[in-house]
Amino acid sequence: MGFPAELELLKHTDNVNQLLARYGVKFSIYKNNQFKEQLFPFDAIPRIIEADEFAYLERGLKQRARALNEFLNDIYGAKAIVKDKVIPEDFIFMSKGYMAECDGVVPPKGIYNHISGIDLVKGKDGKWYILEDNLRVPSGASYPLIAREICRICCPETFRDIRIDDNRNYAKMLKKTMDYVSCGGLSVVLTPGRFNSAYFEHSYLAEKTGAKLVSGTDLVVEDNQVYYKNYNGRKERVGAIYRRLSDEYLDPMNFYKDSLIGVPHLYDAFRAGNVAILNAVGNGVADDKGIYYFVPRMIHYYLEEEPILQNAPTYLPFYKEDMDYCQAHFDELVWKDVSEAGGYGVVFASKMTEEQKKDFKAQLAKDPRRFIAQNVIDFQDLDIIDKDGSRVPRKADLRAFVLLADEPMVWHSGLTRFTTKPDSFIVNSSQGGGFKDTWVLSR
Amino acid sequence: MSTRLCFAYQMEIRYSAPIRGNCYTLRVSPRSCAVQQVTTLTTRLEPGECWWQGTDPFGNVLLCGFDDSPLTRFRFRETGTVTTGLADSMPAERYEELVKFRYGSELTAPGPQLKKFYADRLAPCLAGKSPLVQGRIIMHEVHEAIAYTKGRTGMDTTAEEAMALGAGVCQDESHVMIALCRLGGITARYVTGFLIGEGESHAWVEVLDDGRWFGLDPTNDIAAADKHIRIAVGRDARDCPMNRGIYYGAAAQEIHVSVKVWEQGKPAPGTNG
Repeated sequence: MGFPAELELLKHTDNVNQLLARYGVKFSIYKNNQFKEQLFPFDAIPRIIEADEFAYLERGLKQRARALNEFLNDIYGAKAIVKDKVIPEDFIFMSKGYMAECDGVVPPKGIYNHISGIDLVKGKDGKWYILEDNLRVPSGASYPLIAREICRICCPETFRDIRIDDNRNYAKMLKKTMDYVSCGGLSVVLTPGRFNSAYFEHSYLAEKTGAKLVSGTDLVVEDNQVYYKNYNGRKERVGAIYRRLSDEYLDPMNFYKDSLIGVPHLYDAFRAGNVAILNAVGNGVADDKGIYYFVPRMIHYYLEEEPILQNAPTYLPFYKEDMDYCQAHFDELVWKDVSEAGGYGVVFASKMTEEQKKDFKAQLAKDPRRFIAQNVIDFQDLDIIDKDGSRVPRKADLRAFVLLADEPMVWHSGLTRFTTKPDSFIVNSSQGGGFKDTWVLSR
Repeated sequence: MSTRLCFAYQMEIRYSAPIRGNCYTLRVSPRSCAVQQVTTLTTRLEPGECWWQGTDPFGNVLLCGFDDSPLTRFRFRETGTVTTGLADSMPAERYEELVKFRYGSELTAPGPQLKKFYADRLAPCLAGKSPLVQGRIIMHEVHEAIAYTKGRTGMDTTAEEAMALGAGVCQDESHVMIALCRLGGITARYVTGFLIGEGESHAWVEVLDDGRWFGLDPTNDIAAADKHIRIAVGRDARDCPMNRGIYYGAAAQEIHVSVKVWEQGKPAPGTNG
């Protein structure tokens, strides 16, 4: 493919990281009551995906996002997939992600997952597998976006010589997505504030899309309309809210009542059809780890198509045959607690002590619905440049972004995250690690 | 037998210091349905410059408001007449609207106490009976097991906690009853409303039997009929509070609620003659 053996860009790694730090590209972790802000290290060796391969991913990702949107419309509407017994009723209605408050509420243009962050890995067998769907507030697009921007500045020759798809169109896609569902008026990015782990992204995307960056106290709801309060007290109507806070904090009048970062009555305005909220409320029911198992069935059910992209082989101990398999192959599996997110609640049976295994099996017997098990996928390593300057292989995944407007759009880039620890499989940025740019070759 | 009831509801909130940004959602307006007909309804808010109506996903009527001026008192008054007891039950919604009432909610999730009570006291006498008959038995057992006591439970007390305590108010008795119904596979929901007489607002339960909702009042161990005015429904009390509000300000609030319900033509409670 005419690719240079050594990228000129790599010589500029330190430059790029310094500039990223200056732009405030940080990631923060809130754990054990401690707030820690840290740089999100950038590794200059890109993940490279060839044009044909990406075209295949693009078809599969579009299909998946469409099926998930159909599912959300159905679950908060006619519930046909449950009536037809494709998914057991209790899997939906006992899921933490299902919100009765959203029942019967149709979002503008019937779109729920405007922005989906779909995590994939490439196995050593060369096949791509879907690890999880993130349909609530998926973050991360801004990192490869700004990294590419800075790389272009530091090392323009690399981008002159190699033909890769431009990723600067993300802002345009996002703007189109907001405009498509807007109920008329301003578009805003609603942030919980600078202590949020993705605050950099909120401000960056607001700037790039021309939306206003606002916090809860900047918005007010009157007569089921949302207004932005200007510094001089003038009120402007808001038609679309790209919110970067989770459902339960969105509106203290309808959800978690002690939320100070939300907007009172916001959900009432949404329910009245006067404002679009991106992503819609209640999406957690579709990206629940227990529901993941059923996504291939959704694709069959709603689209009458064969799934293009495969799930990682997954077992639901809730079903007897799956439980039998899990018991027989316990040590080979990775166990996930469906109620946890962000890389927490993921355990590899092979790394448990005998004591831990006993405890875990007892919990599993007591509450099988709480867990899913997956075969450990031996996924491909990508090279990174280690602290001492040497190239070392590390586990990495890919978060692809699919946006739904009048038609699904897949961003020709994505966030590649890697673990810095040689023996770790968990690449979630809440658990440390760094990121890479994702290059999609133009031909 | 139908009855014509008059009611007067008043809620007053006093703040110890001026507050701002008063936001509220009230679910206090009865609606006409198969069991009751609302003939007159007058509402008054003070102050009440900015308020609007809405509907929540449970079909309840909302009265929402926002007031940014400083205030030390907020008052809501509502009077009306409702013909009650038009039928012993009301037709249920379609499956897709009903299914949410079949599963637990935060406040009605069963724990060991409820499961034990169900297994020991209820399971043996429920077998083979219709949901309505089962509901009546559960209602009676809950009425016996939970002593009506004020001050020992709060807004956030769960059914499990109330069961362990053996005490509570109408909210707790209803939550316990709902949790036990759902344990037995009966679809049940929480109802708020007013009861004839003078006092506070009331709560009871509706159970689903053969496509119809039947009102059962565990606090009084009676069917909810012509003495009850239905206001709102939900999976539990948290879905349909009569008043939910927030404000900015370092002030304490004191809420006074008074409800009077009387038969038309008879003297209102608290009046002479």
